[in-house]
Parts: sequence; C-alpha cells; structure tokens
Amino acid sequence: MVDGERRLTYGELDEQSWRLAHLLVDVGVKRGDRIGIYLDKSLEAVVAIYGVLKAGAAYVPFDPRAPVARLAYMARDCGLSVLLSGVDKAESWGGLLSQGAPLETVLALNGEAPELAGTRILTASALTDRPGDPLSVRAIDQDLAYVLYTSGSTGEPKGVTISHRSALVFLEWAVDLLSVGSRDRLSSHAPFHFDLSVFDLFGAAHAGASVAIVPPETAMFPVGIGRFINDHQITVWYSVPSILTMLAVRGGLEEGVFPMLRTIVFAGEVFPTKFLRRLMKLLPHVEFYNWYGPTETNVCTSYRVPLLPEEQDEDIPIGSAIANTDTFVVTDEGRRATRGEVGELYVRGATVMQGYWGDPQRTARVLVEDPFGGEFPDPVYRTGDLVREDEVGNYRFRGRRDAQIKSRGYRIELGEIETALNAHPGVVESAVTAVPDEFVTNRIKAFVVVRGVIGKAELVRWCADRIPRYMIPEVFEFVDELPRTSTGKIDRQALSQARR
Amino acid sequence: MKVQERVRRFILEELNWDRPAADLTDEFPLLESGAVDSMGVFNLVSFLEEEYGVHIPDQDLVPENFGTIGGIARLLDSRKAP
Repeated sequence: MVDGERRLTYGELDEQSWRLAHLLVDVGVKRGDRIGIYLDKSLEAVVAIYGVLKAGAAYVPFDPRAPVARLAYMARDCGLSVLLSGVDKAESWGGLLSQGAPLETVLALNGEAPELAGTRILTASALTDRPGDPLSVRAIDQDLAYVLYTSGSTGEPKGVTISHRSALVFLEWAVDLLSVGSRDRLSSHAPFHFDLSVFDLFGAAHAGASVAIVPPETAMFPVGIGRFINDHQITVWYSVPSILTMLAVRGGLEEGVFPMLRTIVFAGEVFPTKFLRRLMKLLPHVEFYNWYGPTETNVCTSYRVPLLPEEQDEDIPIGSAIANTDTFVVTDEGRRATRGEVGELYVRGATVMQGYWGDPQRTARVLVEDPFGGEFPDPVYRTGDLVREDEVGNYRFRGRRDAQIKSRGYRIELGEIETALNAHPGVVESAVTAVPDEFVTNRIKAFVVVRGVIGKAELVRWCADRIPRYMIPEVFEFVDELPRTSTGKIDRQALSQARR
Repeated sequence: MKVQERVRRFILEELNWDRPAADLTDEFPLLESGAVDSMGVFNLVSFLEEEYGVHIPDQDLVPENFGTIGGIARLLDSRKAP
C-alpha cells in the first residue's frame, strides 16, 4: 500500500490489523457488530478496515467531509458503539455524541486525543501491547463485511449491507477478468465510503498487487492525475468517468503516454462517447471496461469497450452479467422483456446485498422474490434502472424509474435534497431537478418558493449542515410558485422544460 | 475590479461557499479546506478563461496555482503578460 511517501507491506498491514482486531475484541466487539471508520483516506484507514474485518465485525466508512448531522444519523441508524478515528476529527466527536451517536469507545489511530465525557478514548498506544498474530474468529461467507450509506429519497441515507460472499464473488470475477497479478500497481481513487474502493483495496490484496492512494488534491487536477499515473507506474486504473473525461480534455496528454498502464475501468455513470473515444485514441495500448452495478449489487454487468468509430455518438452499453450473477429485464406489466424492449433490470445472485440496515420496509420494496423463480425463488434486486437488451445481448441504459440521478459518479436522490431544503423555516416548498451536462452527467438545480428575504448563500449554508457538498444545488431559482399538474402534483416536466 | 475581487465574488456566488464571507481572504486555503472541490476548480477555470479571454494551458492546472485567490491572481497575471 502506498500513500504519498509512506509505504505499508502486506506483512505490516497483516500484523497491524491483527493488533487492532485484538484490541477491538478486548473492548467487547463481537461478530456482526458495526464499527465506524472516520478517517481521511490513509494507511491508518486501511489498517482500520482490515482490523474490523478480522475482528468479525463490519466496517461503516464515513465520508470524512460529510456534515456531522448526517454522520450522526448513520451512527444511530446502525448502532455504532465503536468508532475508529483520528485526532484531526476530534472536534466532530462531540457533535456526533450530542446528536445521539451511541458511541462508547473512540479509538484515535493517530496522535493524542482529547478527553470526551462519557466515552472511552483510546489512542494508538493501546495497540502496542496487543499481539500481532491471528485471532480465532468464527466468520462465514454470509457474515456482514461492510455497510455503505447511500442517498435516500425520503431524506435519510440508507445503509446497504454487503456480506463477505458478495464482495468475494465480485472480486474473484474482477481479478480473473483483468488478470491482476502481483506485479500490478492499482490506483485507489474512490473514497472508502464509495463501493468502487472495494476493487482497489481487496482486488489488489487478492492478487498481491500494490495499490497507491490518489491524494485528494491531486485528484482535483487532470494534470496531477496524469503525473500520478506516471510516478506510480499505475497498470490498472479504476474511477468514475468524469475524472477520465477531465483527463482526456485537460490532461495535456500526448498519444502513447503511460506505457505501463494496461487497463482502465470506469463505473458509476455514463461515459460520454466522444470523450471516451478521445481518451482511447490517446491511450491505444490500454484496454477499457465499463462496469455497472448499484451499490446494492456490487458490480453486476461488464462491457469491454471496442474501438469506437468516429460516427458513433450513442452511449456505450453497460454489458452483460458477470460470473455467478443473473440479470433479466422485466416490463411494466411484470413479464420478461423480449430483446429490444425496455424494462427494469433485475439482478439475482451472490453479489446482491442483504438489505438496508434496520429498514425492512425499504428493503422489501427492492429485494423481492424472483417472479420467475419456480419452487424455491431467490431474492432478486430491482435496480430501478431502465434498460433494453441489444441484438448481441448487451444491456443499454435508458434511464431511471424514479428521481435518482448521477452527478460525477455520485448517486443522488433528488428527494433527499428537497427534504433538506424544505426543512428550512423560510422555505415554503422546493423542487430539485437535474440538468444534463456533458462533463459531469448532471448538474443540480433547485426551484424554491420562500417567504421573506432568503438568498442563495443562506440556503447553501443550510444545506451544507445537512447533506454532502456534492448534493448541494449549483443553481437556485427563486419562484413565486411551482407549476402543478391537474392532479396537484409538482409538474416536474414543466420545470425541466423551463430550464431550457 | 481587481482580479482578486472578481474571483472572490465568483467563489462566493457560484461555488456554494458555506462559510462566513469574511473568511475568504486572498490566502484562504481553497483546496485544503475542501471549500473548492474538483467541480469548483473546473468551473473556476471556465470562468477565468471566459471572463479574461485567456487560455490557461493544461500544465498550469495544478494545486500551486489554485490553492488561494492570490495564487489564481498571480496565474492570471502571468497569462495576461505580453
């Protein structure tokens, strides 16, 4: 593992994470417990992830930049009694506690931590006398490995629960597909609370490959990304497409750069064909893959991108089902779609989540009995994504059934933004819409009806305390009223027409 | 209007600034603080290129040039110089 100038061998990672696992068991962590990880992306965070897994528990990675209110909700929702954190986050611990996070122990993995009333604070010094050898923890493949929180349409994020089996089935397929080996060097671009990181971290470990963390500041500049790939001699890069679009458009690349790079995988949103083609021309020696899958299914389809002819401007397909996974399309009438017909994509197999943590109702809406399952029907996941199967058996994404959107690879429920806005005492009502954008898939625009004098700055500050930065609308339009349909619902079609 | 002032106004009005306006000095760490993200940088570059009719080469898109308002102003000065 490489983090800037710092290095961690797998031997060191193994020993340090066993020490942490011993400590976690000593403070009472049991199989199936959820443990929060509130650290910037770093070697400490990697040790924390492995330590939690080795203790038989599931890790719950926090977005270190998310508002404390949202993190406190997550902590309450999945009952986090232990938090692995760092002194640089210490000023937020009090806020978590005062907003009901049930924390009993906070372990600061870097430096000396301040006291916190009612909570046991431990520092890294507590690890030194713990043994660095294996614990005997009985864990099976169906046990929970991690919980990732994703935007929820009712205003509260939902915890997607993924088992070891789910992650492993995906990883074994991925490592095999890309022939990842011990001489490979993977990038770690996605944050740990984003499921793309599962491949970077565990795919590398599975193959004994090295993996280098992309520093957040580097990741903000296309030239920096190019320099990173060069400096670290990255062989396999994995990220959302918007980063790669920036690299193609403003990376200052010359044809044939990055001779060591052999594979680029992207996932999370549609890669605009014209930018993908440009990048493929600059990197003719690289193979490109488009992976698809909501967090609830890890990755479930894959597409190897062929040479893209100049005249092609249609979006590339999302591909077909990966190993040990079954996918099928269901029409509105509930029958299997024929080839070419648009319907909702369903996923069956080991990569499907166990459910949303503590929310059987929302789980039951998406995890349903296989309608074509016969005697012993499996649970299948309804993706909410509309697709059609093309003539060679690849799925083509056609949109959403609901108000979920993608922006820069982030998955966003517009309803969660509206809930945040509507909670403001001066907001009468609001409607949030997605404005398609060629670089970042969508930009977010809010139509707001207010009473009194409330400006954009006030609403931005209000949102920043409640939702992650990437969900805050870029444009606010203040209107006297929202257009209505004949049934009295907000007329979203009229709003999306109005913006043109 | 001075470059610094126009950039400040752009960041305050267009980049979802969520802190007190007075915090945004010429030396405020825009990137380290997380106040400006990758989308913000991208929007900022488009703004500078349109507003001042300059082309900022890809190689100049680096943290050293966008870390502070002062850095952005220096970058722009160097692009505008004959």
